[in-house]
Amino acid sequence: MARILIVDDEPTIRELFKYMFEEAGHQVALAVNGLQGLAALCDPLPDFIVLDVAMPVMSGKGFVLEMGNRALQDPRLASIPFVVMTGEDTMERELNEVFSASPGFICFFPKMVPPEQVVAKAVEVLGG
Amino acid sequence: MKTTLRLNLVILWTALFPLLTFVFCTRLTGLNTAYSLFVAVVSSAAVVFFSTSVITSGLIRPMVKVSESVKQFIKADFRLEAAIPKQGWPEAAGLTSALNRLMLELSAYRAFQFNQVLEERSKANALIETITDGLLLVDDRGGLIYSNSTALQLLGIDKHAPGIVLPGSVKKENFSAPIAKIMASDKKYLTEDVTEAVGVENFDAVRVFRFISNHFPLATMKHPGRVIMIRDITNEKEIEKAKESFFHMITHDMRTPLTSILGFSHLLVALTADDPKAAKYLQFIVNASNRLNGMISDILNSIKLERGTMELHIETFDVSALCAQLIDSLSPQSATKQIALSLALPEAKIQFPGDAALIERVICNLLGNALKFTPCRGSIKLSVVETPAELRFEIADTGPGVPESERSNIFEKFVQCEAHKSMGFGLGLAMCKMAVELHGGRIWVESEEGKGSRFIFTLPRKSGKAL
Repeated sequence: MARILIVDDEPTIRELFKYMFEEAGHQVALAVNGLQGLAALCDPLPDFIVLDVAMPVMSGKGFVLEMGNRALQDPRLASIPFVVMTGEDTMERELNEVFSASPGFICFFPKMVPPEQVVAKAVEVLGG
Repeated sequence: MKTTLRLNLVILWTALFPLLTFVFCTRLTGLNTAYSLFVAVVSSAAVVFFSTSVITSGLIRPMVKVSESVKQFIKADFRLEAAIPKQGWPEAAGLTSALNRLMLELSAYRAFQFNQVLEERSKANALIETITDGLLLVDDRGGLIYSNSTALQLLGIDKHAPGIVLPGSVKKENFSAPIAKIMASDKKYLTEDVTEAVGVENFDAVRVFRFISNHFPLATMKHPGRVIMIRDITNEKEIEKAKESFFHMITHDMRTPLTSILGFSHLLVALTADDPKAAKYLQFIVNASNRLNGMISDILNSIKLERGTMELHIETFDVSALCAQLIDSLSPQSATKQIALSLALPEAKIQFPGDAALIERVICNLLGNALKFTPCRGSIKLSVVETPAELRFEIADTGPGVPESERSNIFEKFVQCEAHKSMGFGLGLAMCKMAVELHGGRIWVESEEGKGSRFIFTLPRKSGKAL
């Protein structure tokens, strides 16, 4: 069992991923924006994060940048693997660079990818 | 344990239990048959009740729960408040799980699609509201599907509401006519210009609006809708008017004094026949005036050719004489640069039906360019070859040549070789091309850089657009 953090402002998406991960036997925490996501980065830390890009209050980019800052204090944060869900057809280059530069970044998933693909990726990253 | 096995066991148990009770009562407890039968019936009822409740909690109750949740889900516009708790036997729990997944995915997908539509709509809205033209989308019956606020304001419609039908709902009289015309037309693309007095403060302001309409496919309807664009073209009209009066000025106001100069120069030539110096200077004046006159003709011809209003005055003329006269008139210019100007004509006189004045301007421009670009002590040759089908003119010079990259577009308006930016308008070759093409001919350049150019044009004996 792993701890999964889902950061997305769309409630239906949060519920869908929560259900999918719980069905796969994981423990799920939810956050509606980057700021709430940051608040969820406390012991026990999540093992895997599913992150949306465009969110009010704090975007996915803001979340990743702030997580990078906090990693200077707590190096464990740098190594949390995360996948990015994006609704954009073409990612802005700068945005792409921010995510790609982060050590925990795994990959992008276009919305609406079948959720089991995201679950399968998490299982793969967390070592089966 | 599998549901089928469970069901089998329950049914088997329900069937066997009364029998076992009966056997137990008669054999082991010694009850008589009637009592044993009674006990068996009672226990059978109890076991049926028990079995039913087992089946209900394992299968029926979860099914009812799932069915209610799905109905609730549909009623709540495909939003699942909470996942259905998994109950009952494994197959029932599996069904619950699959339905949970289906409903969650459906609601997420719907929300996603809805957001996408909203986003696309707001993008389109931002674009449509930003443009200064009025924009309307109407269905084939004139029902207003979409409009920007500029269009509503122009048509005097308060706000977009259901039931607005064009042209009936248009408050401004001047605007309902073009819309009625557009709606009644079968044409795919059409334009209508309307003049309308606008504004209260500057009450005398008159603006011109152009209605541009085009079909667009409506995915949901079998008939095409129409997009109507209302563009304020007052400024364009004013510019057009200014251009018209400028050209009028060139034709009349500049040509008139030039005609006087030329006329009186010719008179003076006759009067000063005994003074060679005066005759020479007067000839300069005549030549310069002729050149200026030619330039004015080129500008006017370009405009007419471009607008498609050029009318060819076709009459049979002597091409040989025209060429000889042109070479003659340019000889003073070529002499100053020591350029050898020569003419090669067939022996027989060439008679050709065409617009002599226009063809003269074409040859004159090509010779003028050759003179401009050929360095001192070079040579220029005008030759004409006649075949039964066409006349072929060639103006060859020993100038710098035309770079290959520029050969294809030097006949475009205002295009000049990089090296000659400051020389002339860039109208000459464009005018030549249009004039030759109006005669049904072709014009092109053959060149070798550093060695010279050959500008060639052909005029067919027939088949010209206006011939």
